[in-house]
Amino acid sequence: MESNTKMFQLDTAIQAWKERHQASHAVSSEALSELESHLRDSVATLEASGLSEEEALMIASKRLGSPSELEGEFDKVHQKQVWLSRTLLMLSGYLLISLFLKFIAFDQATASTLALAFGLESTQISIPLVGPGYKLHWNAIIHAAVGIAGLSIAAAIILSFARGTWQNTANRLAGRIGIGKLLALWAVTYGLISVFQMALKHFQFRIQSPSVREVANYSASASLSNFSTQVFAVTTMVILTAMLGRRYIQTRA
Amino acid sequence: MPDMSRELVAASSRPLILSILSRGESYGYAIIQSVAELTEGRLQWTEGMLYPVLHKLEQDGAITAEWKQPEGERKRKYYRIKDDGQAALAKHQDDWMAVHNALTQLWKATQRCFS
Repeated sequence: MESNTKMFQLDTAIQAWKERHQASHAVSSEALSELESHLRDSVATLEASGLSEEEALMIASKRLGSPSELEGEFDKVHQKQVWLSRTLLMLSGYLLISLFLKFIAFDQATASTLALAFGLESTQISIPLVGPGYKLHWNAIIHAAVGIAGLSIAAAIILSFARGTWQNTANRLAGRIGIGKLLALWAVTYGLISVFQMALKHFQFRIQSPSVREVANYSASASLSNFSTQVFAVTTMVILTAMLGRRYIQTRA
Repeated sequence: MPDMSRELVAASSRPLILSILSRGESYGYAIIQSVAELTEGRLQWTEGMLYPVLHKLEQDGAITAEWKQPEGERKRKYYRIKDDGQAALAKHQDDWMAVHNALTQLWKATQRCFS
């Protein structure tokens, strides 16, 4: 019974030790697992020489090095990873915001649907969703659902970011799929939303008068040019960060 | 006896790690134990320092790593030397032996002068 509580205490203490080291950019979660197995070996050896579990852990973690010492050592070797991590954090923030904004643009119809639900006339809102002879276009319902889903996802991402889990997730994601594929994923998602948005707009405005159709065409080309602007911005940012990163590494070396 | 200089500790870390791994696969904690035993505690590594060096050697393709859990033991990351690592070790041996020979000759000569 007693040894059980003791075991639990060591695990808790090691968990706390891991959390102190987790914040570092340079020490990946895999490296941390490796350090943990080292720490446990070291504790076991020290315990065998007659120390208590608590004393053993204290000495073992001191021998292994403090978080800042370890980060310094890992930094020297893993500069690429440090910069990848920084770039990734910046980039993922930007990509998220751009996708979020895109989503809002894609889903401006949600607002008008809500307005309709509150009894406003379709003429009072920017995009008429109620076609002649229809009470409420089925498109509007889809828009509302997509809008609510999108906003929930955005809220969840913001919450997880606030709790600090996003950075870890982003690091792990980049480690697994690579920054190039992450960018490609973003481009494809963004492009698909754009295309879908254009298609929907086209469909919506087809039931409207010819003058409105012109507006639809204009807005489709605006969507396309907006997408190329985004691609340009992201590419510039990646190149700049890579250059900055290399300069930083050269100064340090 | 004062500690060995940081530079010497850093310079000898790679040849030591490669030499230990050339005897067979091993993990971080055991490597540190071997070094402490072989140098009779003269060479004190900050234990955390070993891992970035191991990771760099792995990046450079000198060694490979694999998580393993032998029967009744803890899960550990085992490192094994590769052909590139053996070649690097041979180069290290050459360099260190050159320094060693030079110093030995000089110190022998000095002893003769003083005796």
